Amino acid sequence: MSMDPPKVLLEATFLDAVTQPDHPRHDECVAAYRELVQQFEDEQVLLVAVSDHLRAVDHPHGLTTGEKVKWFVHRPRLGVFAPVDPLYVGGQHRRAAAATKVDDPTVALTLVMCSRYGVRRVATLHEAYEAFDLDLLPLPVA
Amino acid sequence: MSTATDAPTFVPPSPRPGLGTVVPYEWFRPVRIGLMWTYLVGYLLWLKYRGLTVDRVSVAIAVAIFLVCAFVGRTWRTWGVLLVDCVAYCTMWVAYEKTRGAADDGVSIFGLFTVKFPLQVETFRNVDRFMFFGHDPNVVLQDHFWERTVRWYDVVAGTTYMTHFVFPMIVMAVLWATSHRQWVRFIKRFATLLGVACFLFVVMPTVPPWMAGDPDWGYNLFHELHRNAGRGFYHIGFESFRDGYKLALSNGNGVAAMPSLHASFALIVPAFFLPWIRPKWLKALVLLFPVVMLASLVYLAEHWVIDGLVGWAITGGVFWFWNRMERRGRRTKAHRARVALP
Repeated sequence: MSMDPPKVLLEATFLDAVTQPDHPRHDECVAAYRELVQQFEDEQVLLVAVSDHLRAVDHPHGLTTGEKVKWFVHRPRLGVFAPVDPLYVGGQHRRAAAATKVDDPTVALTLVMCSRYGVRRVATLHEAYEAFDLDLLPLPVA
Repeated sequence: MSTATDAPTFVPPSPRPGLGTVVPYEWFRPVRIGLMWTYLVGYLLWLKYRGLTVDRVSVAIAVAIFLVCAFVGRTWRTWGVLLVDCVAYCTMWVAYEKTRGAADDGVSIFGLFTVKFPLQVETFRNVDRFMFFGHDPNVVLQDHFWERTVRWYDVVAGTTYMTHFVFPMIVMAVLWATSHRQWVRFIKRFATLLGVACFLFVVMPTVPPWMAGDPDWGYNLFHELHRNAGRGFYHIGFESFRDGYKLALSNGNGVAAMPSLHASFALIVPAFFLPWIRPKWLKALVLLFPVVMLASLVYLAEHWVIDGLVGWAITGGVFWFWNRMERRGRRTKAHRARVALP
C-alpha cells in the first residue's frame, strides 16, 4: 500500500507523440495527456517518466555540462512536461536492463524502472508492453 | 449422448507475465527489509535495557542508523538526496535549539544591542482562569489526582509525555524510507511549526505552571506543584537514555512554554495521516492522542491549557498554509503544461 497517488509512467513513445505535431497519433496522445494533467492537478495521479527519456524530450539537441548538472540536481519544471517527475536512472538500473531478456533497450529500461518504482500504469504507443502485467492507458479518440 | 467434448469450453486467457519474470530480482530489497527488522529488534532491546533515547544527538544517531539500513543498495543519487535531506534536518534542529536559548538571553542585533522581550508571568495563567471560570486547571488536576504512589493515569500521562521525544522522529524516519515525497510534505509542515514556535519562544517567553508555583522562583501564583513528568513512564520499568554529548547542543529554555510543542507534535502526526485513515472511529481515536497529551501536560504542570491550544492552532495553520501552497504548485505545473501544449 502506497501513501502516494498511483504513478502513471509516460513512456518514450508517448512523450514523442505529445511533442511532435506531425506524429500520426499526436492528437490522441495530447487528449490523453490533457486528461492526465487534470488528474495530476486533482492529486489523483502522479506523472512520472524515465529520466533518460524525459531528458531527451526536454533537450532534443543535447545538454551543456551546466544544464546536465542542473537537470541532475533538480529538473527545471517548465514546458509541456512540467508536472512530470523524472525517475532517475542509476547504474544498477542499466545493469538490470542489460540483464533482461527484452531485446529493445528502451523497453527493458522502462520495465526495470516500473518494477523498481512500483509503477503499474503506463501511457505508451509501444505494443511490447501489452505482453506484461501492466495497466496500459487507453488512448481516447481525438 | 452429449459428451464433455461437445460442450463449448471456455479457455481463460493466459495471465500476462508479471515484471518479475523479465526484470532481474533486486537482491538488496530483502537485505534492506532484514536490516530494518534487525534494527527494530535492536531498538526495542535498547529501549528495554538502556532506556528511551531522548536527547537530540542520540535520536539523530538512531535515525541515521535506521536510514543506513533502509537505503542499502539504493542508487548514488538517492544517497546524495538523503545526504542533503540529513543536512537540512540537522540544521533545523540546531537552529531550533540555538533559537530557544535566545528567549533567556535576548536577541543580539548585530552585536550592537540586545533586545529582550518581557517575561509573561500571569498573562496565560489569567487566560486559563478565564476559560475555566476562575480555576487553575493545573492546580485543580494535581490537587485531585496527584498521589504519593504512582497511579494508572500517571503511567498514561508520563508515557504520553515521553512519546514527544521520539514519535515525530520515528514517523520522519519511516516516511524517509518509504516515500520521499511524503517525507518532504511532512518536514515542510514540521519545520514551519518549529520556526513559528521558536519565534514565539523568543518574543513571548512564558513562565510554565511548575515555575509559577515554585517558591525558589518567587512568582508564587499558587502553591507548589509537583514536577516529575516521567515518573509514570519510569514506573513501568522504562528509563530515558540521555547521553552527555559535549556538543552543548541544547540550550534548555525553562520559559519556552508558549506554544506547547508537546501538544503540537502530538497533533501533527495524526493530522498528517488522517487522510489515509478511512474508519471514522479510528480517526476519532487517533485525534484523541493530542487531547490526552494536553491533559497530561496540564496535569504534570508543564504547560498552561492555552499553550496547548495555541500549539494546535499553529499546527492547523501550518497545514492550511502548506496544503494551499502544494495545491498552488500543482496548479502552476498543470497550467504550464496546458499553455505549452499545441
